[in-house]
Amino acid sequence: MKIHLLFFAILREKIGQAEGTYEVEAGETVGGLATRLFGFKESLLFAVNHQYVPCDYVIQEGDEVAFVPPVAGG
Amino acid sequence: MWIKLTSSKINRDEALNSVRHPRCGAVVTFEGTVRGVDEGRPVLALEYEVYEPLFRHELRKIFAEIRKRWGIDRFALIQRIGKLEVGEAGLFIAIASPHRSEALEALSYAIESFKQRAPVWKKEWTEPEGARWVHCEHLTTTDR
Repeated sequence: MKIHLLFFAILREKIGQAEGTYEVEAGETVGGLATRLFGFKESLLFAVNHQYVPCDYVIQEGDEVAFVPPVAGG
Repeated sequence: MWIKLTSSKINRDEALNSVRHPRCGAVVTFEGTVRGVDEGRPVLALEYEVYEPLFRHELRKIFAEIRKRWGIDRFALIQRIGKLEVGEAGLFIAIASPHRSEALEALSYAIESFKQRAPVWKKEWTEPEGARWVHCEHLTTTDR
């Protein structure tokens, strides 16, 4: 199934793009996808459709998945 | 609740005017500015990046928590995006309430929650190291 991905800050620079469409198998989790894309999932947060989700969230058709590297606001 | 993201200089009066109210005797504020030194290194500039839809969603949640805990409903926040020079304000928060004690507590809660949850990233230019993403140093060497 097709999903939309968003990359920010250091992850955008690593991947070389800010967003993209990606094909994933049913049952894929956001944490699993991060490991496949970046080689790690530790210290990342995940957001789906503009809300934080846990790393074992199972991706659904049409989801917009954002990978959130460690934040530094304030 | 009033939230603004801007690439222009922060206008504090906009935030203050949006929270002031005749029944509020206290207006407390926090301003986060770009420090000229970080961990002993001279900082030249900071670049702020924000994921706006998640940013607004999390702030609405933080604000709802504040309203529930302290009964405060006058809250404003301005976040700068883009490149800032040393001394410029990157974040401004204003909270108004009838009395100061709950306003100060709520402000402290807002800042701590913001730092942990708001999707904001800072790229820091230092000399002589060059640019780095703050709090992400470990990710640059984690290609496994």
